[in-house]
Amino acid sequence: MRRSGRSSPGIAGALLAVLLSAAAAVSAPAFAQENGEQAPASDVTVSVSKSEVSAFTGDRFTFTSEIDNNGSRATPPLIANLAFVAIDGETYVDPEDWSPERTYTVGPIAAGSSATQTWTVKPDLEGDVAVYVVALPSAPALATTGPLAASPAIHLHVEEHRSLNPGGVLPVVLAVPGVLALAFAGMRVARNKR
Amino acid sequence: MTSLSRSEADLRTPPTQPSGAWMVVAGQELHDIWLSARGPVIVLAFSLLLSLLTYLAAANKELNILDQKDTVNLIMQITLGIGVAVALLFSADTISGERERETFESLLLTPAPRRQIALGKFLAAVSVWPVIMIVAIPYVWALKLGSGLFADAVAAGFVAGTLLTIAFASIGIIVSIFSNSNRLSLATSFFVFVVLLAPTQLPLSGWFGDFIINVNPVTAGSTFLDRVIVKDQGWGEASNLLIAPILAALIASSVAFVIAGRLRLQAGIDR
Repeated sequence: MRRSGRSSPGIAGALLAVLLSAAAAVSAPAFAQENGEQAPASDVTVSVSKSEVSAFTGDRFTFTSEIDNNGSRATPPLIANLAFVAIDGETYVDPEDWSPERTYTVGPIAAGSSATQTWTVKPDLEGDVAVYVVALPSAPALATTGPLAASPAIHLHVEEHRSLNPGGVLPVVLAVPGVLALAFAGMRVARNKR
Repeated sequence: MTSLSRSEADLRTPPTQPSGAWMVVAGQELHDIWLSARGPVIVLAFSLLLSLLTYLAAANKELNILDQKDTVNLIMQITLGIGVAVALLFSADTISGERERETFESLLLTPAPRRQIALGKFLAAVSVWPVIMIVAIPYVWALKLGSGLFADAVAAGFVAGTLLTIAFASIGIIVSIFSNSNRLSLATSFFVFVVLLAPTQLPLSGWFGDFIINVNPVTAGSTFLDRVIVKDQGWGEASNLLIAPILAALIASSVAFVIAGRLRLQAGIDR
């Protein structure tokens, strides 16, 4: 009786231990994958191909960014995000209007490797704006990593583009009413001659 | 005797109705619209409006923030709205205008069947739509982002606009048949158009919004353009929005065709 009395808590304890160890075994690989076997954010650097750009409103320019993994382990999947900040305190920047693609999903970058992204920017308003790229881990690893990696800012100076022929529409804008006016006048003259 | 019997037979036989009378009426009406100041002035004013909008969209600081797809959509929506409105106003003038100018009696005395008179006037009234559409094409081309957008915008605008023009020109003729004065006919037709156009400017959402969008031919046509031009939806995906314009065109033209056979000198129809 005593033996069985002793063995009963022993079996329960063993079952509990087995359950706990099983739970630990299930969660351990995910935890290790997120924290133990991938490069921390400090090992990731972001660089951009330009440092200063002067443009007119409506112009388009492109630049590339490069995300380097300087660590000894692969990075988790990353998101590269293009950001704009007005540095003159006046310019209103709506990122949607300034760039058609503002995020890229970047797969895990192996140790010592890099990934390149190409960005297109179309400044819509005059002013001085800082343009930079931020690399941040995808959702599962986001909360457990350190500071995000950001590129140096590109100083974008935008001047208003004053043109008599914006977007090349002037010929159409003048020609269509002109041709119609001539055609209708011609019809009227021909009719009066008859 | 022979000649006498022939004359009697001629008297007994009702006069044959010319089958091409609608062409004669349409020709006369087209002449009135396009060789007078009415049609050309409207088309010229429309082209000036599109020129102003296109230049502003390309040059203005606030407007050029609009995506090119939005700008092309704006041009097509304005084209559709003006094309339909002008066709409606021309058709609303057809019968009531003749009554008011006291020329309808002589038209009814001709051997032309009444339905053919209405058909000729209807065709002349809708002739403004293809002209307005052709005028808009260079502006869409100037603002386009790519050849795909240009083709989609022009094709979608032409299909939606044609259906709505047929529907509203028929409504205009129906109203005109029941009106003695041009003022009443134009005001009633324009009121119907504005009532159906107004929901396109409302933020429609939820099941009621979807219901209005799908049932009202104007909102359905406008949303169809938006889906095809701005949201890059295929025609198959957005085709359910063409059901209301198709039904409106079929029903309104059928009703106009039926009641046009009973046209009479005064407002209303013969019973």
